[in-house]
Amino acid sequence: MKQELLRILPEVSKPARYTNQELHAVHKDWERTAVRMALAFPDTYEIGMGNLGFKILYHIINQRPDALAERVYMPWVDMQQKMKEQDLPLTALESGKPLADFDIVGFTLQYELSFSNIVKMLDLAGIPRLSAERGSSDPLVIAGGPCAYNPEPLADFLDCVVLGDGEEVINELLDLVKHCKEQGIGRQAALLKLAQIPGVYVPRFYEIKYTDQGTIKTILKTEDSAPDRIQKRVVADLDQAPFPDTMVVPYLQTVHDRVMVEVMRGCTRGCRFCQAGMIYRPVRERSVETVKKQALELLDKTGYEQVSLTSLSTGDYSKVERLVTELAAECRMRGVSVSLPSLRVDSFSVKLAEEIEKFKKTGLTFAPEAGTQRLRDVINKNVREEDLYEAVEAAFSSGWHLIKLYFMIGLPTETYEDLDGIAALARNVLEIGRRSMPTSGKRPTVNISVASFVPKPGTPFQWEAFNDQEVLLAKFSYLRKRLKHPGIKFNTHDVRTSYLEAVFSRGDRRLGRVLARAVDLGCQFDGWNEHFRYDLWMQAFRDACVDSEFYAYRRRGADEILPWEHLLSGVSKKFLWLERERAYQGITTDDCRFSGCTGCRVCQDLGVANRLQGGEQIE
Amino acid sequence: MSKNVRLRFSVGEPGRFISHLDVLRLMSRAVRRAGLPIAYSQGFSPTPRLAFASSLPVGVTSAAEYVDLQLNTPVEWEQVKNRLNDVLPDGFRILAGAALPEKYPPLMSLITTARYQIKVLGEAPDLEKKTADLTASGQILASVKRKNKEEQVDVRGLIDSLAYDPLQRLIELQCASGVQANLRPMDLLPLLGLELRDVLIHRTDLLIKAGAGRLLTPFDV
Repeated sequence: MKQELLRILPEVSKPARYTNQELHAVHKDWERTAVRMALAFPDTYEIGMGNLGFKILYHIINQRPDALAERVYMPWVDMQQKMKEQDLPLTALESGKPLADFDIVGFTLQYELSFSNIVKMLDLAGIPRLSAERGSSDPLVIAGGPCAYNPEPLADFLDCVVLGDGEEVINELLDLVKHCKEQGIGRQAALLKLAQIPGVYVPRFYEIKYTDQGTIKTILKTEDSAPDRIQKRVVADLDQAPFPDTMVVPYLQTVHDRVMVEVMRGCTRGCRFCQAGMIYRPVRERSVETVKKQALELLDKTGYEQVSLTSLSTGDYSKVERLVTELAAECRMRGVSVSLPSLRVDSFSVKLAEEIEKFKKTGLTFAPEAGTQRLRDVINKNVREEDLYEAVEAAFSSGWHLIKLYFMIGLPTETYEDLDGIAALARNVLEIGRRSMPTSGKRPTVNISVASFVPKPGTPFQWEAFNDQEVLLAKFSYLRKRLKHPGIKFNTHDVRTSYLEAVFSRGDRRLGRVLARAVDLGCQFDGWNEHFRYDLWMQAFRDACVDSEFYAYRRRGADEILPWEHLLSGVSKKFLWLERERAYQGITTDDCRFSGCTGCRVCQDLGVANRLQGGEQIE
Repeated sequence: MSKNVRLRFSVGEPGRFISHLDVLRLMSRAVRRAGLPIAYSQGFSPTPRLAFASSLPVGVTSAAEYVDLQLNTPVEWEQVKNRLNDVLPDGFRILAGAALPEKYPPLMSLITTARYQIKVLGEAPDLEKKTADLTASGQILASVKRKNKEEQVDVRGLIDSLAYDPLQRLIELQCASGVQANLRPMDLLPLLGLELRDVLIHRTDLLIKAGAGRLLTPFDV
């Protein structure tokens, strides 16, 4: 470790964020490695270390003899201050080399509220902010992740963006960068070559023209050889996909500080608000054998006390019962517990949870999302009130005393009846608890968490308006009054952060100026309440002469060209619009795993299919 | 062979930068990686039976940390040491060990004293005089953080000895350490005109005061 760094570490909070040397961190010979990539997470070490995608890429890249991957996270504000005082640039953990010395700096786009941190990290690294300002000695700044389906607010800052499953494209990208480096191919020419890789989007080769009303008139290609549209890459067979055989074990506690094994990718339940449920299609399951093998090997190598079976909805894994039973039995012998991060709203899920948490029953979380059947049909959250009541009854009578329920407000077609529905559900769940729990001992508690709905690109609700902030505040206070009840706790999300998320999730390139200005004004860590500065953000919009309400509050028309029109997740726009219409008619759409094809086009257009281990697939 | 084993371990770079809770987690994971037959506590969330002698302040290195392990089957302490050293991350090293009897008092309740060497990195004028003046005075008011509040506390009674060796640029400190009375060595720095970044603090011994001014190591009891 650098001596300068060692001296300032005792004076910053949680210094082990910056020390590196963790167990299983990979240190390669810098000089003898042809391509060097920094995996950059635009949030703290503790948050970033919990990201599974990062671990997968770290593994794949470091397995190559000719490439190395190192990690870098956003330094906390106290560390930034010390770095500034000592004139230290942002460095990667493993080698301690400045970020600017890498060939590639790859950011993950997990949520819109981390965009300011990306710009800030470039600043801290001394890398020119704008793609157009970078020269041959600067790293290639790339990005991937869920927000890549609309990276337009970041278009000016990024050299290229990768759409879809990273493990499909990373090797082609490294091969090409290595080739360009060896051949001395210049930046512009290299970007032209990169644009030829399927799934790689180079924003500078597209020009956006706007109408007088401010909507998009055309998205023009400025280079003939660039593709008209960029389609996501997809791993066809997850069971064969590379997965880390070991994981870095941090010195200090991080989020998801446990073994994570991805049991499946994708979800076809078809909730109309859910971006992940659209962009990660189709459903691909790992086999029970592979998951067990990976879990046990990782437990042996890391010594973790818990293994988490991750996916968007692990209760939907076709062999979940067998997997959980067998794995929990193996784990009990090792003093290890199994966790399921996402539960379906039904009594089957409670039975599963019971299987793994025989003793420690803290809380169970369910997400009905909306308060009435009518609105749940609109959003295609196919949960019936009876399912919820059955699930919580099973939970309370098996010894759980805390039930957490997640809801959203501001959904399309929502009325105050739907809010009354949330309050009624909460009270009924509490009532069930009082009825079904033993009278002695702990009393039942219901936690109600309510967030504001944010329309996301690539979903059937991508055309919808974000609810007015005043309206949302009124709805929250309406709910608060109705949920004032002993035994019910009510949590809300900050409406202003949701508003900013709504602006950026469907923003276009004109927001780049706002972002740059906001960072100049001091905005960073927008996802952290103590750092979020709504006033500075509003000033940035004013200074850049950009109307934020245009992006948040406006309902888009069917014919409007959307900023991400040229970026394809495989789910067709026609299907999304049809789903939107069905939403307004209150018609639900089935899960294609259990009924026929619903026509989203992913399988046909990408040449893939749902791959289930249970063989329940219907042609 | 015994089912109970006491180990002495060192904390170096970068291990010194983590909290006691992190050390606890790190050691449990190492024990599991080493495949040692560790005993687990009974109850809702079983935890491995590891007991530490003291918590080391963040930023301080040490050659004298102790942990007691309870195993389900007897293992030679040398083997426990070797198997742990194979799997411990940088900054942690098992140095020595001893078998413990079936029943023994918790180590944490026994420890009374610690010795530190404070290496002075930069310029530090008059340290010989400053340390001598401090030890000569009847009262030493230090600013101590308690429950997130700065308090002025008289720490004179906590200091056994304090001296500066100009040749090695080392401050030698012996002071109270443990559950009854405790002094964090960094709390003395401002009184010596030093800042945290000017020094490297290293714990050399963790001791138990016996009768007649005798000091025992955890392996002697």
